[in-house]
Amino acid sequence: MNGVVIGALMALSMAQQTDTVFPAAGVKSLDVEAPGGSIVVTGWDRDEIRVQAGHSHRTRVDIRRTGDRVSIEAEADRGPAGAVDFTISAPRATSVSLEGMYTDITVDGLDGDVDAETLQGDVTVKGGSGSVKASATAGKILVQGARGTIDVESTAGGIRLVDVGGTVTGESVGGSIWFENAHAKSVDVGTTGGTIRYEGTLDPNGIYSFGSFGGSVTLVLPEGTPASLSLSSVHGSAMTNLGGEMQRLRSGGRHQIDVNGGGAVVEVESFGGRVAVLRKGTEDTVPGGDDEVADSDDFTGIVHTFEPGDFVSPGDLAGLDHLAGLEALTGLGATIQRSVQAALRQSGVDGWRNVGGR
Amino acid sequence: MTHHLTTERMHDLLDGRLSPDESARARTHLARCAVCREAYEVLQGLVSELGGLPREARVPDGLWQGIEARIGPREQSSNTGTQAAGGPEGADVLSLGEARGRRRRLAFTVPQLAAAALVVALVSGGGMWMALSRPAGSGPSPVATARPAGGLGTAARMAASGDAAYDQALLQLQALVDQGRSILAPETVNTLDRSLRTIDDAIAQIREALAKDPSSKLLNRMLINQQRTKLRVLKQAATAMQARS
Repeated sequence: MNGVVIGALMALSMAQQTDTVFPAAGVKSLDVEAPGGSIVVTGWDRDEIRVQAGHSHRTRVDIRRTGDRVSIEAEADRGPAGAVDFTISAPRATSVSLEGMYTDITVDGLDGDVDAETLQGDVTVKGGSGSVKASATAGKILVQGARGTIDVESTAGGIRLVDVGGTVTGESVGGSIWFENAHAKSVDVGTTGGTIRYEGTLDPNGIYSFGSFGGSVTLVLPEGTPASLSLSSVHGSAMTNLGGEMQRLRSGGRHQIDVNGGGAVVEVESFGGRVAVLRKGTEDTVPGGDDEVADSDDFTGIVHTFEPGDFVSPGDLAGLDHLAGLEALTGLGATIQRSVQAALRQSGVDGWRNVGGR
Repeated sequence: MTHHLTTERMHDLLDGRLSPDESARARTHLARCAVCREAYEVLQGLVSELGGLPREARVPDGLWQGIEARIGPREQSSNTGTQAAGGPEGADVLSLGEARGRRRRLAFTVPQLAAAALVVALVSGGGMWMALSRPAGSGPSPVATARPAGGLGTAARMAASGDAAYDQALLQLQALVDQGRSILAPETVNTLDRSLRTIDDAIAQIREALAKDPSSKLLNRMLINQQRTKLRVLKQAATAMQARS
């Protein structure tokens, strides 16, 4: 019932609708700003731009063209503008700069440069062959199918990169960074409290750097991948079977290993988590292989600061089985305690013992 | 393994002054040598950031002197690039306009560039502070804010090496951000606070480890990376506050 009332109120508050179409000839870039709501920009094959926007009666949409640039902003005569839900269609070659505060941003099917930044909200970018920059202070980021220069930053949320190529740089504080079916030519990513997983291929001449402070770092690569590995974990374990037999390496040092004749330069490091470079197909069979906490010495591999809906690896919570309950927190660092507690709380798990008993 | 690249060599590579053969050899070395590569990337980033500076930028009264004092005394240029990257801080503070104008003619040391870039970061923070402080409707801030073209990463990475100076500068930026907390939604502030605590805990744990193994390059790099991350988060908060104010 409450949901119906709230839904009706929301419908009323978004009663105003802007819907306009104008020629895109000569337009190279599109700037959109929304203090709240959502921005969805989709590439299409028509040489015009359509702007649809749902907003309250006291907010209006201001569209201006200056040279080859079109700017679209939410405005209000008195006080700050309210939330706006933008749905925009533009020629695929258009470059976009999208900025929000409490705003979800989605870009789909554009080949121009993409720069999307929000304070609190999720950013999704699908496609793109130019520069793709995505930033969310408190939100998740998904980049899928991009090929150019990708730069992603999320302070508290997870970052997921699917089927990406080109150059990737990325950073998160509390979230994990996951690559799926990646074929990047170079990567430089780091997270403080999350895990990193790279599943895909490496360019033999590429340079790759993966670093996590508290989480594990796992690379899953095709058999025969030539690589010059540099593996380091201060307190966790390090391992690789990319070259054949599993090599388990002591913690605390840097291990330089050329596998399959050497090739792509790969640096993997963590302070408290496990680092592993694994042959594809073995990640599920290697003890402690794919984001699993192998033993109590490697407990820091589970450190995450999850956000609701964050990307959680299959081993994240399963790894907690290795801890015997609340007592296991004793002696752990403050970061780890807080992170594990946050993970449990936000995963809806009722206490340590329930997890330990899974 | 060939000899490490000197700072001068790195500058020449950056400026395209090497022959094709020399350039290829230098790049091959960079691809294989993590130490030189890191130093080169820092240099590359800092030069790029300096390239984004306006010719004139004025910081709030008193801020410049404080930063200048904290960054430390002038240091003579060194030609050992890898030492510059990991060596002790004691950086020359450059005039922003001067730095931009001269950067193609002088081979700045990495600490020198870092100092200049750190100032850029704090000038930007100062701009935010001025924006927050000025009465509503009083017009644009008189401070010319300079934003690094490539973000704060490389600047902070190197600047962070001078712990005391960096800590003081960071505290100043933190104080600026604290003044604007009410501008953001409580949920956002909580998220930022949680992230900053995560980083602070990481820094504390790395410092604890460094106390036992002060010469560890890995730990030192991790410390710098976390400090860089903290600066980025603070900068992000400051930018958001500025946008909302």
